[in-house]
Amino acid sequence: MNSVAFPSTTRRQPIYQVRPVDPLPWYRRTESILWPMATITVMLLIWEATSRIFHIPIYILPAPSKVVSVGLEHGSYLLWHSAVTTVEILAGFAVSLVVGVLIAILIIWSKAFERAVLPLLVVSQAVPKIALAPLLLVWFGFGWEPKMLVAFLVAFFPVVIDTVTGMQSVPTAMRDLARSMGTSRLQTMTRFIMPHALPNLFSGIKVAITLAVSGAIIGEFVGADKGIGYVLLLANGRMETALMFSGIVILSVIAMLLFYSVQFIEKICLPWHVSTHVLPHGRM
Amino acid sequence: MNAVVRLDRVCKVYNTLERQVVALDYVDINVQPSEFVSILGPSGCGKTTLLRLIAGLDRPTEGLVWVSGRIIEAPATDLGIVFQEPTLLDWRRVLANVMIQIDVRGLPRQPYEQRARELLERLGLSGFERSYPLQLSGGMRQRVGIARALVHNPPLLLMDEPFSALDALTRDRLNVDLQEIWESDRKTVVFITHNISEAVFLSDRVVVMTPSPGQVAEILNIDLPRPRRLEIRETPAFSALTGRIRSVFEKTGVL
Repeated sequence: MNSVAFPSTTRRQPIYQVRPVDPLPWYRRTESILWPMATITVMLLIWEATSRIFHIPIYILPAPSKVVSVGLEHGSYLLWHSAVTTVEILAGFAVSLVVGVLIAILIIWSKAFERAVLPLLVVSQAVPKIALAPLLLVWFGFGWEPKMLVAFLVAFFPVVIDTVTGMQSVPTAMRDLARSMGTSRLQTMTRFIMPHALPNLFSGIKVAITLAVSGAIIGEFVGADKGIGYVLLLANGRMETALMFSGIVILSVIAMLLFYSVQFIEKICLPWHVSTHVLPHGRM
Repeated sequence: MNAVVRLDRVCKVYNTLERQVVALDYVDINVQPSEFVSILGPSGCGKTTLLRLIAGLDRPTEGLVWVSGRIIEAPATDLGIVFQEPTLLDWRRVLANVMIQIDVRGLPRQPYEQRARELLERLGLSGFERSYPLQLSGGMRQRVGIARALVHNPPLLLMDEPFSALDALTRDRLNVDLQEIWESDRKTVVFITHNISEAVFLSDRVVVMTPSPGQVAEILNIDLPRPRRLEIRETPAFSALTGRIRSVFEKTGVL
């Protein structure tokens, strides 16, 4: 047979029928947000009530209302410092992502690299990265570099490990399929191995982004003149506990926003994956 | 002489740390153009090894494998493979899963996309072109796998127990549909199975293998008229053939 198309034959009834599904009502769709929100509200109310009833001193435990008012009072100050910290986090995270994926690709491509580097990488995780922060300060000064580096050091390992795990789990049949199509090494990586590892990469990224937040703060604790970590130390020294709480709240908000941004990107990148619930009948 | 697939005294030995496992022991098989040949045998008889050797995914320890007149020394690309598991790319929609063959090979998209859509329609998957594999049932996924193996119009189709993970009804249906597709363009097919009635129903010839180490026990010609319907399995001619294969298995100690 030389032509590409088939000789036309009688068309049959489709074996499988498709049927549209009604979308979920609003109260079912927002359920996952409403419940935790309710929990937090109740906890805040209890906190507020306790601190008022028992007259807890403000330098020990300020009431949520006090935290909010102090936070608003120092609004622009906190905002500027959180911008500094966010840039450090994102820089460290970005470097850990690029370096992490590159190391993972090298591990998959070269048996020698895997044997020489992977065990060292695993053992190196025994080193508490926090202990390296003062050293980085000596090497790179008080600027953003040591903060970014600490963030990178704590964040890149889960990226490497999860990506390698995903890449190694490509089934033999899929490798055979790729070989039977005559794929080049690069094609095998970009068309088969990388997309297959993407769900694992994203779980690594989600761990990495939260670790990067801690990394940047540790970097700031060791020595900084700006950033939320600096604000926390300063407020601590002055016993301004309400301001410390404001800083912690802002930091948590940053971490949460970053985490959910990653999750949002994941949803866009992995519309096919079970974790993103594409199944029309899969309301599990 | 112009066989599409020719196995010439092929042996395959796997070396493990403790011992050597002989998977194939001097196997000679010829597959003619447009012929549907089943390799039938119990699990562990080297059927899958045989298919991997033909595809060039593995090298024989001894002997030669010829495909389309050339000795196979590297993975052959001029064929389509249907695996035991559908092996779909979960991140690609159904049509894109079929078209990966075309994309990777750098063939022109347009004519092949039409062929891909037509294959999917023939396999009963119209309306599912934009679904993701995880939204499909096992049978539907394997249908996509078949479309992918045929879309680049290869002269040879290798199938490695493609329906063994499916339930009996789905399997019957796929046997009928596979036969229909095969009738329309008569590609050379090497079909690995451990199901006697499936092998007889689909094939022009059935190669019955012995248990490990794999050798050819007998080669049967299946002269049943085509196109075959499932009812043919009820006929005496069909039963005679399956009975004969069963007696071979009894003789070689499989049953």
